[in-house]
Amino acid sequence: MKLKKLLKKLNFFLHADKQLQHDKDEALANVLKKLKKKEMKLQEELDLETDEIERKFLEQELKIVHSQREKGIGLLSEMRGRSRENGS
Amino acid sequence: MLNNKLSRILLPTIFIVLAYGFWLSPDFKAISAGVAIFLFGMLALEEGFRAFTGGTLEKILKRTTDRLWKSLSFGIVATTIMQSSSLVSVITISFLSAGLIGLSEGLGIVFGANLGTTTGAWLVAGFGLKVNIAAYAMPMLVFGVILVFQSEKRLKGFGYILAGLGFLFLGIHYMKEGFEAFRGTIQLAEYAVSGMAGLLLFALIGVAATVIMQSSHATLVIIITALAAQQITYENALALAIGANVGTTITAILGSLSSNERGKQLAGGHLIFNVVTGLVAIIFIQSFMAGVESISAVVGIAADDYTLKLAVFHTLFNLTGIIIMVPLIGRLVWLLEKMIRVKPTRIAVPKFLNDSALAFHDTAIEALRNETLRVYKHARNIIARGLSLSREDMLSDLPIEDVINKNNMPIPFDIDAAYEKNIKSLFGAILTFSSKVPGEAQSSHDISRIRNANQSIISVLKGIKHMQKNMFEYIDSDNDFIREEYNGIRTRIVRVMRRLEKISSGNEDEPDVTVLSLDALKLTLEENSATLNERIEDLISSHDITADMGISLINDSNYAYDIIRNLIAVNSNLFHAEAKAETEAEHMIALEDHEISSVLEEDEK
Repeated sequence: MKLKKLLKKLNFFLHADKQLQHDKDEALANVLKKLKKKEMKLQEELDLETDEIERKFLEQELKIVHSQREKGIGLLSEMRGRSRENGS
Repeated sequence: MLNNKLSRILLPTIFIVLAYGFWLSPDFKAISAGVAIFLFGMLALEEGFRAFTGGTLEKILKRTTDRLWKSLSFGIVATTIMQSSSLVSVITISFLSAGLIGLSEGLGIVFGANLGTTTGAWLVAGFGLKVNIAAYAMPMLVFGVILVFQSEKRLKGFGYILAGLGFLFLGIHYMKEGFEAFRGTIQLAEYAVSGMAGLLLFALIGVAATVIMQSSHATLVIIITALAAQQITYENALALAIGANVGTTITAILGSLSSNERGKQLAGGHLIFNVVTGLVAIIFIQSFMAGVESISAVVGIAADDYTLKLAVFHTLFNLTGIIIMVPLIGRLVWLLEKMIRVKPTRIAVPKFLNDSALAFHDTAIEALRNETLRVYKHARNIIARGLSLSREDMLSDLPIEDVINKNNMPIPFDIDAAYEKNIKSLFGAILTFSSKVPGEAQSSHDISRIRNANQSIISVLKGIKHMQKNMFEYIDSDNDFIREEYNGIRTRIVRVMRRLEKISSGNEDEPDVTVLSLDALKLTLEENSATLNERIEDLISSHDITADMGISLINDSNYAYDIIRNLIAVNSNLFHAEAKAETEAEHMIALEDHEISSVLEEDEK
């Protein structure tokens, strides 16, 4: 491991605030990834579904996941913008 | 209680013996100061490791204790790093009490800790005696104490660990110096007792010394330094090491006094393991000594290096103990569960909330969560019975329509009595326990979620109770319309219960976003609520139901709406992802009421 990378890791470890921010960022990105997978899976299910009631239910769920993703992306970019402003 | 009695008798005796010893010999004073500094170092080390228990330890434990070999390895590694089997035992008891791990996993950790603690003897015999250890202690103490004064939690933790190690080294140095100076005035080795009598006598001394100091590590360091200064014979040192191994169980026993039956079972298992291992070592001492000689010859330990040979012996007999006891772990669990039974009670008593679980934030939160899950489990029974259904039917795979048709007659059930018996005491205990958890930002956030979950459970039960009277009247009514509407309410609640069960049990094929999966349920709830109100108005205006029936139906539909909302809230507050930060992220993304309404409005367009 390069010295710079090692120092960055040590810096993170010793500064809990920065690490906490980093963990939050990473967690939000992970959840967004999972939501994207879920959205794709729901879309596949919807494409195959023929029953009208089931289709409506899947469509609703898809809209919810889409809204959640939109909200999450907004939060993530806001969080990253803030940390950039703080110079970390 | 035992702790109090012990300290009432032991403490004055120890003070008198020590004072007399100090008056007699300044060298004894140096050795005792060494032990005191060493023990203080252990305390500082434990304090330091506690700073790193928030979240990290829970994560490691969950990942490393699902198999027996993993719990064994966890015990070995954790004790090697922390150099304190007592701390590992106490952590294990609190995790077991909080329901984070099972008894066999707990026993695995404790067995592993027994082997891990033998690395201490290797460090002292191989490193502590060979170099000027005090030279390392001084800078460690200086840097450590500077770090202890920092406000940053991790830096402070590092400081305690560094200062702890410094004190350990300094303590070893004083013990070593003391025993060497002692040699000039008195030869303790002259009091050596050979043969089986000596073995038993010195094993008992080892037990007593460890019980008093509550640290087998400290006893071992005394043994090793005394052996290096030729103040005790090699044979007697082996017996002392066996005794120290048995005596170390006192910490777990004392720690388990404030825990539940599970903690006591673990302490019992720890005692059985160490006693059996000790007995095997005493009975087969000659074979063990021969084994030590062979191993020493292979690894190149000098014939007269008795301190390292003691370390070999210590590892060898603990390893033998593991080899003997691991295959018997299942039987040991059975025996312990038979010996220390969980008492059946008429009124539900907390299973996970005890003082041991309060030792760490993670265990306290997990204990609260597990206890709340118990409350929820009891509440599910009450919900099912309140809806005139059985819990099995409610959560089965049978079509909901069939379940409702099968249970079409009201079944009397006293919700108040069930609440008094199974919920109230647990709810009270949860509130009391949550107020005892030391308030850190993260934990108080977790605690407020758990409190909210409990309050939502109570609201669900209140709703069920309010609905029960009319439901009894209308589920077997001659009026098809009102009967259908009330069965519709039952159906909606059952559907939500089943959906929640499905979300909480998880699906391997689906991405794990449990908290967020609840938003779809909220949307369905809002949608149903809107259509239901229109339908009730139609039924009243077309005179299909009477005005009284209509009022009851409007009220009970509102109760059902609240019940479902609260059920979703319970689960939202109790569900959590593998990583704590991801749970927080899910809560941040979860849609608010107005956002759900926007999705619904968009849907209607």
